[in-house]
Amino acid sequence: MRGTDRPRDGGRRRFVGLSALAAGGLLAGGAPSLGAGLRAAARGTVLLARGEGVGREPGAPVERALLRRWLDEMLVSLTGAGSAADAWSILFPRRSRVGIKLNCLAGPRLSPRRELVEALVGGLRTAGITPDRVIVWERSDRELERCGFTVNTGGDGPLVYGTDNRAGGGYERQLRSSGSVGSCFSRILTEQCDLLINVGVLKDHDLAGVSVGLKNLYGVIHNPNKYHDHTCDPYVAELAAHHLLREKLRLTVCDATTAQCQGGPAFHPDWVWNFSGLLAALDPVALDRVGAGFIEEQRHRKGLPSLGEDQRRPSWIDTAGRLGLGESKAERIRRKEVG
Amino acid sequence: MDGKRERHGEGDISGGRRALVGSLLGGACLLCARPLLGAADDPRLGVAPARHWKALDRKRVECTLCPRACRVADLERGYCGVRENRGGSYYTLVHSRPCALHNDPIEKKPLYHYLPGSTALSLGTAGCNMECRFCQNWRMAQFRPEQVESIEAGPRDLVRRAARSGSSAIAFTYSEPVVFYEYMFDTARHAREQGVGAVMISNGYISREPLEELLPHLTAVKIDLKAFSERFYRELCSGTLQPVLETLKTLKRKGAWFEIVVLILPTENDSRGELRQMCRWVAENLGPDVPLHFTRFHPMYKVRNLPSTPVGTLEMARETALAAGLHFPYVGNVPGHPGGSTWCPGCGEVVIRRVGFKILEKRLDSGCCAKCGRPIPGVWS
Repeated sequence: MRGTDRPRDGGRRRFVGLSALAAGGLLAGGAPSLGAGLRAAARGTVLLARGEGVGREPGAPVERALLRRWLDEMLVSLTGAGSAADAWSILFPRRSRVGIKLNCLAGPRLSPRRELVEALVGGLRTAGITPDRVIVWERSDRELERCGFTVNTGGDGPLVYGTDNRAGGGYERQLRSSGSVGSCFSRILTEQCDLLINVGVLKDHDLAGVSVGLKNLYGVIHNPNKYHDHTCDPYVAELAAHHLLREKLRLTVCDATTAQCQGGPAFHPDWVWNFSGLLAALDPVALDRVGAGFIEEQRHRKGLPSLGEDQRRPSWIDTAGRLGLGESKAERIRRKEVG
Repeated sequence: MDGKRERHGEGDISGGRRALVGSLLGGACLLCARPLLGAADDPRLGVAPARHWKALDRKRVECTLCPRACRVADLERGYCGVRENRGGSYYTLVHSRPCALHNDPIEKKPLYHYLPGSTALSLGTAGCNMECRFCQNWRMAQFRPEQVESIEAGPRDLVRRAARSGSSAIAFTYSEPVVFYEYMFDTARHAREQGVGAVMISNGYISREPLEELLPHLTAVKIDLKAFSERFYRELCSGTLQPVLETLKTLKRKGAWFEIVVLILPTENDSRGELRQMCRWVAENLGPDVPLHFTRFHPMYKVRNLPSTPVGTLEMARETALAAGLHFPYVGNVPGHPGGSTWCPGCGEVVIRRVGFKILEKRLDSGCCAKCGRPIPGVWS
């Protein structure tokens, strides 16, 4: 950018609207804290559910009740609660506003399934969180619509919308920094949600190696394209280390009904496989490590080079471990199966 | 300039939008025949085929527009954020979608040896192929096109607007015109046909082939030479110096009129040694007549821990340039400073006296100093 040539400022007006709205009462409060004991107990634990035939066809419907049952069992296991309702309540206190951040880039055949989102909304309801306190979101309305979600900015049911489409601008005006990342964050995260469920997809990523959980947080910032060098290391980890994400990210779920081992992040039918499962964890790093392991195994079965041989080992998982975001060492991760 | 920021009113946007309704017939651009937006496309995007890229395996592409050479997977975007791989083909997303459009004094670019006192219809889109931590237009340059307000303004419309407003040129500026290359190319080509100038205000981070393709349609170029060290480019701009130097040499070889701006950041690129090296390189490779503007930095974007550049540092830089044999070094962003005026290297008299963007006095006679008759290089008519 040049030293002198600057347009007359047209941006300010765009941002005033949302600031005023926020000041008028839309601001969410701070994230309710999760007990340190529970976090410590869940560190390195990844829950896995698989069912034969689930998600046999990319994008085809799956049974919502089954996904809900899997989620309930996973949350009971993660929290040690006596019932599913208790488990949801422990993680998501009654008055919290919960954002469900999806990963819809690849379109309907390789994105979080609607039934999974419905199961999550149903689970939150058991914790007393009514659908109108749930925001299902992505970067843009169009990405959501392409995956079969109906944009809803104020009707019945959960709110559904993208950051880019909010009147007055969906990103904060000021930069937030975390390590080498400096970005404007989505106001959905900063102002409208107390807690976050991050819902990714089990898939290969051409630049990051894999996109399972943490990589999906690039959808929170306005400038993800600036952080794709060096297989996204340390950027994925440093973004996730921002205190807002550390505080608000409560649960990571990976839709692994249909998975893809090469050619991501877009959908490529040659490389998808029917994993028929779901992953969930309170520890996002451990979940990424386990997910990356599944992708590597499938690449091996298909005769593809490992991600390391392909010069895109997801080293940001190690970095995330070093930053204390979770357990990155495979030998210290406990994989528990439910369902 | 930072000390004289103007604001563009909303009327620019809404007025422009109304005025442009008639510019499209049947939804296709009359000039470049770019494709209609697909049904799934965001109406804020201006989608058109990119000109410089090559196909790789697995539906990936390699962008060959700038030295970054992004390898972009299907559905992903390059570093600039405004070029997207769609199923193995590469597209620009900002053709005919400026997010700023103003009539500016040409001195604001700054171009001091190009039709002084004239105005340029100036525009920029979202996106940039660098990320300068001191970027003053970061709300355009560091955002994706869906995140900024823009209007539809095709090449023909821009040329009409420029002619109507009496602008001497259309200036591609504000963000980084390299990333809206196709829009710039189509507009500059049409402007040339219509006798309107076209100037590119750029970081010079562009590959040789697209630059050489573009140059015949440009009437002047301004290049930001951010510093004279790879460290500065790497750490503060996410770029590299060498390709920018190559661009400057190409401009010289092709005979384009160009000027250079160096934004001086205290402690980062203001050492006398580095400035001396830079000035010697300019003198040896580009000749003594290239205007070199040393401009004042003010804290901005991610660099807020440095003070504004002391005027004395800019004066030192100007003296260093003069000592290296350069004829037209300037002090910029310091309204009223004598170093902002053009002085004849022959007789030492003022040729063009400026205060800020205003021309107070012009003593040029057919491109020569009115006093001693020495030719002053530039585009004067």
